[in-house]
Amino acid sequence: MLKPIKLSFFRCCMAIAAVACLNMLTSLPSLAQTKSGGGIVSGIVTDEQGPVIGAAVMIKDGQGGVTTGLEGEYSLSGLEHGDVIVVSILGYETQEIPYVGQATQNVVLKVSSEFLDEVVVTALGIKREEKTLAYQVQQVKSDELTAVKDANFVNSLVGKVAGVTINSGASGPGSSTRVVMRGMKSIEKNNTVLYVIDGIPMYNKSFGGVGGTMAEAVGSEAAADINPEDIESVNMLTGPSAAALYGSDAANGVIIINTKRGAEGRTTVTVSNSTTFSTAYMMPEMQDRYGKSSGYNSWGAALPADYSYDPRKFFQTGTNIINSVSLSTGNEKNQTYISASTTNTTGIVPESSYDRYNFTARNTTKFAKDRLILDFGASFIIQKDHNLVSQGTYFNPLPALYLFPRGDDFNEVRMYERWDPINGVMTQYWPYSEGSHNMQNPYWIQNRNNRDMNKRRYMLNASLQYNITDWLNITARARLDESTYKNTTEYYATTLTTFAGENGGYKLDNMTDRSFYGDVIANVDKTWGDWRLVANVGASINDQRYDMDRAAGDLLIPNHFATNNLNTSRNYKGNQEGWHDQTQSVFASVEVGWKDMLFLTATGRNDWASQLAYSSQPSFFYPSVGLSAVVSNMLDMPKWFTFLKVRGSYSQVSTPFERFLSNPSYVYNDQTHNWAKSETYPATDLKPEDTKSWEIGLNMSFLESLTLDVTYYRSNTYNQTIYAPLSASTGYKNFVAQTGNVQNQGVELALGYDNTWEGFNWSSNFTFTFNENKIISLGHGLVDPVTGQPVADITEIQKDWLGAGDTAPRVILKEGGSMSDIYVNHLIARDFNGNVATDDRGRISMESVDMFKAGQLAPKANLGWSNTFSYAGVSLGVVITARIGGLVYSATQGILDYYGVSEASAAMRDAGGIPVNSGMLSAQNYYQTISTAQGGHGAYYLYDATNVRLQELTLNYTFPRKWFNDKLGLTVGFVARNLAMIYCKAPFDPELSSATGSNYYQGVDYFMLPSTRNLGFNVKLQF
Amino acid sequence: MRRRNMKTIVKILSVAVLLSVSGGCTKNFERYNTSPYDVMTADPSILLPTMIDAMMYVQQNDSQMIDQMVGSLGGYFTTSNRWNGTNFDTFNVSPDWNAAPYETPFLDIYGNFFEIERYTGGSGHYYALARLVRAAAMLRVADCYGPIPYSKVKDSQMYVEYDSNEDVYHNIIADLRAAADQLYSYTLTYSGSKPLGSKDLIYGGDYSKWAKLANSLIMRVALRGGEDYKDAFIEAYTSPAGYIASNADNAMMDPAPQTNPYQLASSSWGDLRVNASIVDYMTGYNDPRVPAYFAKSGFDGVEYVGMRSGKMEFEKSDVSAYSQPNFEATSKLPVFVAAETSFILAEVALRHADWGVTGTAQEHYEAGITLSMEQWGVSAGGYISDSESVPADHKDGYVTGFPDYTRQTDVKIAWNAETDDEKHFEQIITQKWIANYPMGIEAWSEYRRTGYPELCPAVDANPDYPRGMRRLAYSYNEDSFNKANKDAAVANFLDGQDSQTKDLFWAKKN
Repeated sequence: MLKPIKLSFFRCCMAIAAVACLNMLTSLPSLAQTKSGGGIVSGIVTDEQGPVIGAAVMIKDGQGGVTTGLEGEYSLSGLEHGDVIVVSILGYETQEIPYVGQATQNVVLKVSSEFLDEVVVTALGIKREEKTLAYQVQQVKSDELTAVKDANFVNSLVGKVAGVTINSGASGPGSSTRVVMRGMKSIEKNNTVLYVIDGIPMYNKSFGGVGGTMAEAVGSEAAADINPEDIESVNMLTGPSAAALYGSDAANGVIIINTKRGAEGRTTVTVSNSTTFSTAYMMPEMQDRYGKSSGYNSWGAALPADYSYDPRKFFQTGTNIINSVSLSTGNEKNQTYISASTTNTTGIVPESSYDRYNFTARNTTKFAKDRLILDFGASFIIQKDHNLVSQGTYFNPLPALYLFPRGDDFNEVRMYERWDPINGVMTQYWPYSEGSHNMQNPYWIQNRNNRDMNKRRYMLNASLQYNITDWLNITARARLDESTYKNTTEYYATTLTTFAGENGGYKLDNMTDRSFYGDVIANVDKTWGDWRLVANVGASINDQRYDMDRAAGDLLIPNHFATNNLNTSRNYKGNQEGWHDQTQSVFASVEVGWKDMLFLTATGRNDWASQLAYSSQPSFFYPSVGLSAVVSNMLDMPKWFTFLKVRGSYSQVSTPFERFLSNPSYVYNDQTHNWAKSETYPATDLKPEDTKSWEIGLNMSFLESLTLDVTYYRSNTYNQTIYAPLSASTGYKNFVAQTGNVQNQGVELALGYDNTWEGFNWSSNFTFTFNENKIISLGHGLVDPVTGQPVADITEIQKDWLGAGDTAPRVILKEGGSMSDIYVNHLIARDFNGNVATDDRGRISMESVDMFKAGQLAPKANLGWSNTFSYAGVSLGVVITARIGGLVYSATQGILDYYGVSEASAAMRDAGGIPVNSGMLSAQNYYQTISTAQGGHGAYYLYDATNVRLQELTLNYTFPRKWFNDKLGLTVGFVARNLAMIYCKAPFDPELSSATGSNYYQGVDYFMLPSTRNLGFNVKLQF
Repeated sequence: MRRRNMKTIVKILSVAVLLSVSGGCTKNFERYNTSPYDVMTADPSILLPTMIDAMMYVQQNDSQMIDQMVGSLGGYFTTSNRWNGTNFDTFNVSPDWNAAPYETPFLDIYGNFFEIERYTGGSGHYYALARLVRAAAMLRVADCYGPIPYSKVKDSQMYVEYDSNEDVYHNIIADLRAAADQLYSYTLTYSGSKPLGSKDLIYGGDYSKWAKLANSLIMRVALRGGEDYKDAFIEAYTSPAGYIASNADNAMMDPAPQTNPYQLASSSWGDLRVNASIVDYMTGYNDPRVPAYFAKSGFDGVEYVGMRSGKMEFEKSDVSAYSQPNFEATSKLPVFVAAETSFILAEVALRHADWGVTGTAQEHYEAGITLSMEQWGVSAGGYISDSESVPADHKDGYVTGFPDYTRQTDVKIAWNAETDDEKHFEQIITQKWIANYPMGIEAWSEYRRTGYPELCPAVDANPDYPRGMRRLAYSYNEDSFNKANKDAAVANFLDGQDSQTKDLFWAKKN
């Protein structure tokens, strides 16, 4: 039954594509075609500021037309008395002028008032005037995204939107990001946003990782594949209310990406280049004046003054080169957009890179007397990354680099391999042990432990809109997004035996993911007197599947990296994984408007999700309702108060529990090759998770140049699926409890200012985000799903250690606390009088204490302030961002202190130690007590994460077009990202994430790659 | 033409709308919500290997956290990594590590055991084998913690009562007895049938050997338990299924497709070295098994030197030159060896005359040594009759902070070199200890039961542990999730002391 639906979608698309081709053939030549005979009219089309280039001038209901030239001039022939001349261009009101034989007809176009009302794209790609919306939508325009280009456009949103926390992955260019809107809601599920491209949800496959000291590097994500040049605008729906129509995945907020389509009436080619250079910025401070003592310890004697070792020299200048070319063309009937882009970056770590190639084409055609609108797009993306480094001890050159025994010559290990004539292979040269951090020669790691990702992705989308009447249309859309990944790791012989056998090792992961989305929506927009009804009723199918197969093991022949050379008898790991999720939905949204001042919206959606199979509830329904009142249209407001809207909404979003939970399989262990029964207690009567939220807000503009948007929201997430631990005596590790109430409440505020004084323009936007996360309850009144007997309450859930167990801080969820509360359990031992306890040699010690709360990871508030100053073609953009509150943990600092390579450890040695009670304690004894080889004790290595930085700086100059005979637009600029940290007390960049896929492993520096400062230039050529 | 086209499109669209709106079609959802590459249900032979692993962990992390870390209390090994000072040998184990020897086997055994019970209806050879494996794995848990849940463990039971340590022993014996009889009768009916085949990494599915293992385990348990278990001992000793009497019957776990975890932990990870005590004893005895057991040390001027346990702090790289265990990646792991049965019989002959063992203690003692030499492929030479050699003192000085140790005992090898029964007893246990290498948990149990051999004490002596670790405290998770039952067990069976110094019922009390 499903197959026919999909097939019909495909057939439909094919038919539409064929029709589109025909139509293009017929409509393109018609542009130049004019009726023979009849009258000719010519003139100039202008607006308030001068000529309007590219306006369409045509005869109403006739064939053909012309576009205005560079001076706004046109000449239209074939006119007969009674014809109506139509002059139109996007953004202006269409003018109709009767032809009565006039030879000259100048036209002054008025800027469309519709255009003045901000039109935003909301759920399912439906465009709405902002005033009708009962919830918060924030828009970021293309030029804000491309001002300082980043390999992952998501990083360009930082500081520009309220209600969002964005953390960049620590692997450098192309890293995945962690985007959380209005706080973390779910204890076990993903809390990051949903990406929507042109109204259709995208499956954001992310290699962000789950964190831990042995985790792999943060990889890229599907969202990063998008060419920023292809983006027309980005709308951020920070609340779930706007998202009721996208389905469950939108519970965490939505980033809607609207891509460019061909522009009506003119042909534009844009060529741009962005070249930026990255250098390591925030690094821990290290010493090179005290030498090695034993092993990796550098607690030895003072070194000669001429010795120097600067780990910073290991890093190189990274380059990020983004070239793109795009062509936009079209007439009133048919618009085409084609683009290509290359992104080539090298990281600050030698031999690390991220490369991407994007190709996109999009065509929009109107035919059948404009009753049918076909939009067709295709993208192809090649993405590769190589030897990315982010954190941890696995395949990270940083531990060996930072802990390198002081006094030794680092140049000696630059030649990282030597010939072994006996075994006939190059062998790793590293005259040190692996220590406690899986250390190898840093250059060997980057040259002989090759980690590669190769990805091919294509996306096809088509939509067909059928305008049945002027108030009713039906739109059908389909989108296919498929990626294949080949992920390999090559370990050369003599790599650490933890990772590979004596002949080396190899790992191959082949993955594919495919998502198909299709929907049909009937759209009604009808006005009766004072009343307006806008309704959308539709059905959709969202089908996602993933498949992975792996072969990994030790090699037989040294350094021959292929699966046919794997030793399958020992340590072989073969595995295959896959899943297939499908959601079928019906939904409706009804908006009733009265006198253009009061709008009531109600939505409802019912999802049938495949995850619910084998449970008692086959589907779930969730509604929303919202009210928006344009007060400025209702009341007589002071003249300086131009616009005031008050809005409020309530919504509910349900999400299914995870796949297979209701139908557990045996669990395969790829190490032992054994199967075992699931360690989760049998679960029955499973229910979806629910988020209920409401928000109220104001949007206003006043004093001509100021705008203010404020929203207060509160959301509560119930029925969370928690794996509650059980005593192992039961034979099970945990049981499924569906319970809990996590609350987020906060304020989003955006204050805008835009003014012009004699050609000088200042536009400024300030955003403020405040969120308070609170666990209202965890588990109460639970029953054993098998026996129905009451189960003990769950009042605490222990989550990740932020580094080494029992040393680092730990995230613990407690009722009344927040989802990012961190606890520590070691302090310097004290005697009964409360003084620091010392032994007979004056040494201090640590003692374990009951876990106590040290603070929380999440910020209290985020602020962003972006400014653009422009005058006569010169524009200066400055974005300053700030994060206030929250803690971060530096395991790195503790480890550097422990081994005596930190500057702090040298400074304390210079000072003769640290005074304790009445004596002096040596620096070594102090640091080797409060810290360990795996990281410092939480209580002593937490830092205030508050920071203020110059996030973006751009200085652009747009050359006057007339210099180039109006044939060319040229903009050149100097750009910088993360230029200066104005305030920061942490020893690393607190906004970097070492595991963007984890809910809890955040704010941890465990040999994390330093943040980078990026400087460069942009050139943009338009003709 | 276009009109028709359009009509077609409208028709297609309308059909699509109708199809979708009419409630969707979800009949494939059950297929989608089924993991495509995982086994959903299968006969018990799929699950038994996971259970068998709990009898002697091959899985590298489980072996390290259970057999190596706890096992190092038996004097064979020392963990050469300090993990921030959280170690068993310094009496300062981290809560998670303390929980692992309890939780890992419970999880590996019971989920699968319940499934097999359901599948077999609690009868048949697979169920018998599952009972045997459960009993063998739980014996190791009980020997670490004492009282544990055993008879009350059932599927769908969120809070489980504990058995007293004595009852656990009785119940384990009952399971082993039933399994031995059933598997033996299976082999009589279906001789040559090996249902598990190569999935059984110990015996390749040979139930006649499993039955012998069950009887041998009963003898191990009964001897440890004492007089109350006399009948069980006799029944096992006289069982027609027999016990492990020759090396061909040895229960040896093949690590394939993994590698020997001791080899991995020592040579790849650098986390494990052999213990000073076993090296001192064997070098003192000029034991021919030394090169088979240990790799040569990296220190100058000494062939074999073990590492002392219980040092609070050291640098891992500083101690890397102490001798490593001499395992290959493919070396099998002993679960139960014939030498042990001989030493069991020797002890019974010496101390439990009414348990019906034939032969003298000396005969069994010497047979045990011979079997062990044979197992390790070395020639005993004049070892058995060596009446001069004594265990060596520990000579260190290779790494700062690792002191020497002067050994008190002068127990000799040759049976007749000693005269009183206590000395003979020490001889038996000493040789059993050497023969049972590298089964650390068993060695620790026997050390606690008998007081032999004379292990070097922890380097950094802790006044709270004058006699070392006597048991493990319960997992913190029991405190959180099964508190009432755990508290009752502590109150009723452990005199209210859930401490690491509390002696179990079979332990030597001074």
